[in-house]
Amino acid sequence: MISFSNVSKEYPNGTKALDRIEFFVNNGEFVFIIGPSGAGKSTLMKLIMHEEQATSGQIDVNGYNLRKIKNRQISKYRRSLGMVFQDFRLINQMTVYDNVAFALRVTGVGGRDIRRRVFYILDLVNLLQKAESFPNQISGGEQQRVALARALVNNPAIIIADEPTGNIDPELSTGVMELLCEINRCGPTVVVVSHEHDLVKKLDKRVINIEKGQIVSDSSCNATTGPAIDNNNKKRGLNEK
Amino acid sequence: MKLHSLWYLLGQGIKNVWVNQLLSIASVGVLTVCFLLIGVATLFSYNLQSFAHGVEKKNEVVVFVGDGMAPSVAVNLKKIKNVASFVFVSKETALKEQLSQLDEGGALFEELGQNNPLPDSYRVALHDVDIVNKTIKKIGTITGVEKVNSPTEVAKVITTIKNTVSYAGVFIVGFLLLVSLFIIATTIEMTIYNRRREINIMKFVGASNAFIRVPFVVEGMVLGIVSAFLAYAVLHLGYVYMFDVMAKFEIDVLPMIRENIVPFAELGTYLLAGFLCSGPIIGMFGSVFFVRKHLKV
Repeated sequence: MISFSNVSKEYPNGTKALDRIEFFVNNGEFVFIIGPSGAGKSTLMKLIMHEEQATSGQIDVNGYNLRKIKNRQISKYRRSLGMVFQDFRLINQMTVYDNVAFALRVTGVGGRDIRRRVFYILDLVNLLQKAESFPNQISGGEQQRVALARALVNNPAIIIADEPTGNIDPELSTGVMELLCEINRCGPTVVVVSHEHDLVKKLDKRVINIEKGQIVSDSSCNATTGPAIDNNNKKRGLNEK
Repeated sequence: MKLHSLWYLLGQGIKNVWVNQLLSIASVGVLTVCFLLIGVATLFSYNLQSFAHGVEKKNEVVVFVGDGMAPSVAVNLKKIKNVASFVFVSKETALKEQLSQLDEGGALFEELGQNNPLPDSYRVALHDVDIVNKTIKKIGTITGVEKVNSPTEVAKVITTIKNTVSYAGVFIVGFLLLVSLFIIATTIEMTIYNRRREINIMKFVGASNAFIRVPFVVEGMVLGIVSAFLAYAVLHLGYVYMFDVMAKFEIDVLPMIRENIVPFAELGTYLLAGFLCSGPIIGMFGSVFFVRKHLKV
């Protein structure tokens, strides 16, 4: 669950990025946040990730009040989120396997469980054969799938994706979005920031439109419809049997 | 933190040394050079002190006594506290010594035959050369003493060298330690600055500060240990090589220097212990301090 209540964010240089934002995302929802450059989308994501703090208002995510969260709780809070970035943010010195496994290691999961879980997730995103490759040895689309695998491996309640298709070819973008829809169908809430209006329209999901730091429209759509997905993956879900 | 996590982080720290080869080499290089400078300054200081001590031990006061007065002078010499020991040199022995030093010119003196102009004397060794003048005055007042010869200038030089070496040694080592800390801190900061993206990613996947910090700390400690051993090895080889080279030259002062050289084994263990204590600590604290700056994400 994500709740923004009268949230404003003003940067030290005086730029008002968000102005009294209010919205609520239910568990299991798929939401697009769209808007032109400088509208405040990235600031909104930064607030959810607790990379920035709101100037005023209240933000609740996964039961954490982000205005009152203690420093030592931040790492635990972030483990309850799965984050996907436009620039993938993979550690280049680590293999694909290690990048995904790292998200489990920080939670203290044991070696055998890590292997089982990582191989399952890499299979889910069709990257099993690239497990020993380094990020700079695979394509942009594959890197984004690694980032998705890393976001999923902890079974997070919420997946946050900031322009996940921004750095990959248009034909691969549909694949990434399909994967996000599939993930959403398995349970997690998915919030995607995107500027690709065509792709957003095609998927027929709830869309929150932000302009000049304010919500100008919020359309709730039928979340059950979406593009065709691989039936094997759908059957298996995110938790390996 | 669970044990398997700790093992993983220790492994990561060691692995990072290899993965970030260039910066590791730079850090080890800087730290090794700093240790070398400190090591050279320490060895130099100790050897100078040992040399000064050697010269000091050879520092003798020659007390010339009148004919037949030697026994009474000996009794009075024993009473002076600063007198460590004394040896009687008869006029005959003194003449022989003189003749042996003069080679061909000695023939002239041999003609003197029974008319030996040299007096009986005592060669007196002192405890403390710093108060040599005071002691000479005291010896001069003893009845039967005709003249006291002392290398006062040499004693002064030795005292000055000793004091200078002691003060300069402490100052040089202290200064080098500060310079080393500054250079090491800069190198570590550069290393961590280059890896701030990695730290940032770790934070976003939910890594705690301790989880991020431990590999950096291990890495810093490993670099410190490697540098300590490297500096020790270079110092040892350099020290041995230098004295091998010195042995090949024949200069008047060299035998005396050789006699007073501090063997590497005597100081090496302490140097290695010092390097091994300070290296990992510098690496560890440097890492902890500079990683902290990049943890605020």
